Amino acid sequence: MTGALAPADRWRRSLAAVVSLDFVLSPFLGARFAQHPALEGDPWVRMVGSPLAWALGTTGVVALLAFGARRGRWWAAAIALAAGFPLQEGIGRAAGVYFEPMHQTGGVLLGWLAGAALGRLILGPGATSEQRERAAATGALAVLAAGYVNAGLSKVAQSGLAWATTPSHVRLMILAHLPATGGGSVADVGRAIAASGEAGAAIATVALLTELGAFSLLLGSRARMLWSVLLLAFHGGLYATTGILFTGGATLLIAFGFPWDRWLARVALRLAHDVRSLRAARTLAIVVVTGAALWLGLSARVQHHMPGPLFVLACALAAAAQLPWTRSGSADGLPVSEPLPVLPRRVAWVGATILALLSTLWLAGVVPRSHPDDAARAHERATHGRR
Amino acid sequence: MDDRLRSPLSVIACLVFTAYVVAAFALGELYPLSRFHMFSRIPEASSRILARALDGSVHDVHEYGRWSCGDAPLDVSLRCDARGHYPDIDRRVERYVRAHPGARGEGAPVEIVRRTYSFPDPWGPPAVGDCVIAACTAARE
Repeated sequence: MTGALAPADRWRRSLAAVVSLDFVLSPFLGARFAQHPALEGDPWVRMVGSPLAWALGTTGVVALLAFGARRGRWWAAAIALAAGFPLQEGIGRAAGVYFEPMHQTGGVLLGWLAGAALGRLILGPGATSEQRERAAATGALAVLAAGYVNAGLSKVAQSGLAWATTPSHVRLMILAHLPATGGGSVADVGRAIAASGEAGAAIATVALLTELGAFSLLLGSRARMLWSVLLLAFHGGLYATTGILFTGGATLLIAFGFPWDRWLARVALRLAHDVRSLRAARTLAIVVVTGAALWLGLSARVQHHMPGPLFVLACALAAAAQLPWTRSGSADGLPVSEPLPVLPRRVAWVGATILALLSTLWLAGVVPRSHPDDAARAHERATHGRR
Repeated sequence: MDDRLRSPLSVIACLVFTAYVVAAFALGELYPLSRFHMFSRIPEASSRILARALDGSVHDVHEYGRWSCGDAPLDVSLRCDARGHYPDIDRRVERYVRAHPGARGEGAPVEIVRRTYSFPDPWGPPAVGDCVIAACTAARE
């Protein structure tokens, strides 16, 4: 058996899984916004509402499958970014606002490429593939950190330090997103914050400091863990109070921010001599990670961006097959782990094929309507007689 | 970590971090660059679309179905000052109402209003104002 899955390989596969979900979502977003665009007659908007958007989305998914599968496939990441640019530009113009969550994950992919290029330059031709992969992973982490710092700098540039001390704007945002009635304990917390100027100011200060301090992700594993926890808490609070979810960024923080390999190795060490517990742990891990992949797809469904559970399933298959699966066992009484796929890569191809087939059927109007927008379009066609 | 790698990786991290920050502020929202300035402005107000019943109580629009607001499709950008609105949420409300149509008079009278919040005293309670967008009928789900 070979050595453990290197952290950089795990990061690469996680990044591929997260960004491929953006490519699955983007053609749906484009088709939706192109019907009532912010910019009429714009060629980018026309493109994103056309079958070309689906071709670009499929290209991105396939390129990312190739990128995640093996080291050194920078060309595949570059193809994905090239396909992503027209999609995101079209969606931004159609919607009237650029989708920052997708810019965040795309930026991390760009960082991977930049790190890879600098790694070649700085480490020289004698570097091993693992060293080059770590250089690329460092670039990706640098952009993840830079994104949060950019958010903080934008606030300071636009509003000065008053952004941190003004008690009203956090409360205004919460008031605009709270359920009108009910909503459970989370909504009750939101109402309590909206009623308190001190709470509003405190949250604004902590949020700004957390964003500006995100360069700490680059200061070693302990600082990275701490700041990942702070940023995840920031994302959690944002989601709880406004329903705005940066799924990709939060997932990358979980993937990059914590030493999963070290923790899994410790678990493997304890389980090495107990085969039954090892199998149970492996089964649990598969269930947990598959559940996480489904959560990625369902969160998009909840945000009304995907038309049906079959698309969620296809996303989950594509994402789960790319995640960094490992197998732990023992050889000669010593614990070892090796990279898989436990789910063969063909699972990802099955997912991508299902997605392509269903997309074609959806475009042709054959897929059963299961989304409010689909019902609305059907109603309009019935009453006004147009497509 | 391999000590021979530590220094080059630090250089790579600094260079890529700085380059992304500079490029994003220089070029703006050019995928995959972004300044992530979604919440950078301090707004004076925020607003949202709600359903207001005859008794004055307000509810989320999705608590009702079988909407009938006249012949033309609902357009929440009409009539009311849309200060501090969230376009994505407004569109979602429009799409919901269009996707849940009913016959005229099928439900009870319900007004679709734009509720605007502001803080005349930043540390005090919010001021609330409603502007009627459409007079409709709808039924509680």
